[in-house]
Amino acid sequence: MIKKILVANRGEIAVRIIRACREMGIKSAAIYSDADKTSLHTRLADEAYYIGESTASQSYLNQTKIIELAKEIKADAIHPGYGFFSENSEFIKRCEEEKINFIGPSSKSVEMMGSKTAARELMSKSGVPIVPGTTKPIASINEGIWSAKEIGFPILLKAAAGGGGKGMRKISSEKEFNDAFEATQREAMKAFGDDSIYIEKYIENPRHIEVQVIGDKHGNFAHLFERECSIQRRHQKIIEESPSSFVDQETRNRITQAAVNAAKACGYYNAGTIEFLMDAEKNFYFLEMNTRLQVEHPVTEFITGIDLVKEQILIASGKKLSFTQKDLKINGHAFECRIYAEDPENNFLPSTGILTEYKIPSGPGVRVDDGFGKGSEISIYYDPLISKLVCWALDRGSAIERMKRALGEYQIAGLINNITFLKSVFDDDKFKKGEIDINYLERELENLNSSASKNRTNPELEDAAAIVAVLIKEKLSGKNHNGYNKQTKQAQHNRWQDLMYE
Amino acid sequence: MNEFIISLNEEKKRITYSGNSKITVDKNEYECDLIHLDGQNYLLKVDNNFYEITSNKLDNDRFSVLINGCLFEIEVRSLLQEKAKEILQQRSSTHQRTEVKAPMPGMILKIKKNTSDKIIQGETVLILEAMKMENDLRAPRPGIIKEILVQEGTAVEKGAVLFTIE
Repeated sequence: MIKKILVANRGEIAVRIIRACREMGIKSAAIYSDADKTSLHTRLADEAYYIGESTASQSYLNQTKIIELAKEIKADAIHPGYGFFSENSEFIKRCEEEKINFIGPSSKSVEMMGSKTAARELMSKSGVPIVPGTTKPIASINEGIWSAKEIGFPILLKAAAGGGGKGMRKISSEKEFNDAFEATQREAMKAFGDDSIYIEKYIENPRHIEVQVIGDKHGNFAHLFERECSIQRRHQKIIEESPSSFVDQETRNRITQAAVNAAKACGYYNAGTIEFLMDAEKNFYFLEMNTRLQVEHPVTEFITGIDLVKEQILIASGKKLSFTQKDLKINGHAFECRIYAEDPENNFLPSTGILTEYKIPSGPGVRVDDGFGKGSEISIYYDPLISKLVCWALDRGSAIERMKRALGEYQIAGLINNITFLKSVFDDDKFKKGEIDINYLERELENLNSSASKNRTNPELEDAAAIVAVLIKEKLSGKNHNGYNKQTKQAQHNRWQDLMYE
Repeated sequence: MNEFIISLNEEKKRITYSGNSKITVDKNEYECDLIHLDGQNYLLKVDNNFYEITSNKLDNDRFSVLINGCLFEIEVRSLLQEKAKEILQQRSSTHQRTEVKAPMPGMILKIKKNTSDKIIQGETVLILEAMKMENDLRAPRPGIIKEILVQEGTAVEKGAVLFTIE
């Protein structure tokens, strides 16, 4: 069994892993950069080691330093969290060579899933549906039209050498094909110096549905149902839920089976996630596999009762899964909100600074995963994630109400954040009805922002805010000094004495 | 009796306060109690409601007030100060210039406008790359770009003046 884990990450996920270690009686060692000296993970771990300057390449992404440190402090395992080294097959290989237990999949599985085209091919061989399309460039317009008809309009013309949204064109019918094909070819030639074009089915306003899978080193596999992560901005998720309100039992059976097939196909062990796009007819298509723990893993933990981080550690130690598929059922409904230091009214511009005040929600069905406290700094060096709020209730409606209640209990000062914006999403009728897809946020942005600012122009709140400003100004200028400021130890003492002799 | 003019959400309110617990905002009278908790944290009781407050003094007249998760920036002036300010503003308001500063350190990726371009409020003037993301920096008000003080591809510090609008 593993005795000491080097946690090669920072922030909330480092804290999450350290907590699992503590509960399992395993020693945890944190690493930190200059910017993270005051972060929570350094305080909670059994040991904390300075690893380098704030820039990630000098610290959290410095392979040699981290491997050397693990050997020096006799850590027998490394947990990568998410991001950084979690899907870096080169790093995993080095761990394998140095006989350090990497808490994750084998470097081979990561490599198999790392290349998009190779993964697509492997999936289609393993009975996992992929977005239909041609596998080779189209030779002529006639061949293109024939393929497009077979796939079914609308389709997407894509430059084979393309990327970043360039050299793509949506075609809705056969008569648009000629012109669009030539235009895309010209564009591709100009942008990439290569005019080969292939065809993919265009999926209109799909949902992002993903399946949590897990496997051990003995060939046992299980899935922990689906999560829906359609609420995204800049292709990054901000709200996730499980189960999906859109997926029925029949679809669930099919998609979870496909996900387990995908994990088996790459000889997977560890927790992992298969991401799919799902269209309005509940057809789903493989997008990619994340060979690591996900940010949104707590929603799955809430509805299944399984501790995914502990399972990861047990699997790495060579143990079998602590449960079988039959033991699992969906219990209730869970949401996660990512609280970011960013400004939804200004194109989600990130904000940096010190958390001058930081109070978090609590109460029934509420879980907060975070890595910072009052006085911590959200710096430019890393992701601007402040906190993750996860709420559970028996059904989706109650979970929405609970989330609204909990969001209202945050008190965060010193940074612009997206809490008011998130509240307006949970207040939105379309969201409440589950009428969402990956373009929902972009489409509804103006609506959501205006309802968020309406919350701020509530006259009662404005009056209260105005009163506070006047009273504090008066207090600070020394007038009306009524003794409330004298919160010294002596003063508190005297108050007790007053009470005792009353 | 003290009278104050406060500005918030681009509106003004008149507050009357005579040192006791009664405070009037415009025409509404409230029964108030402010309790200092620690540092910048307060509890405010207004009639029968308690609010948790975090407040920062930004400068002599300006305060940030976080209340129920909403952040306000509030200017507080006595009636006399407000009148003095109005007179001063009238004298110098013919030429108003706005400086737009970098909200965070980053790199100027692209400049989309030129000096003396006419711009409307909300129009993107330049793109700042920070935290691996492209951020549009928009005109906070309509006007004419007087000066652009940065070049594409250069790094800027937080608070550096990027361009000015007149």
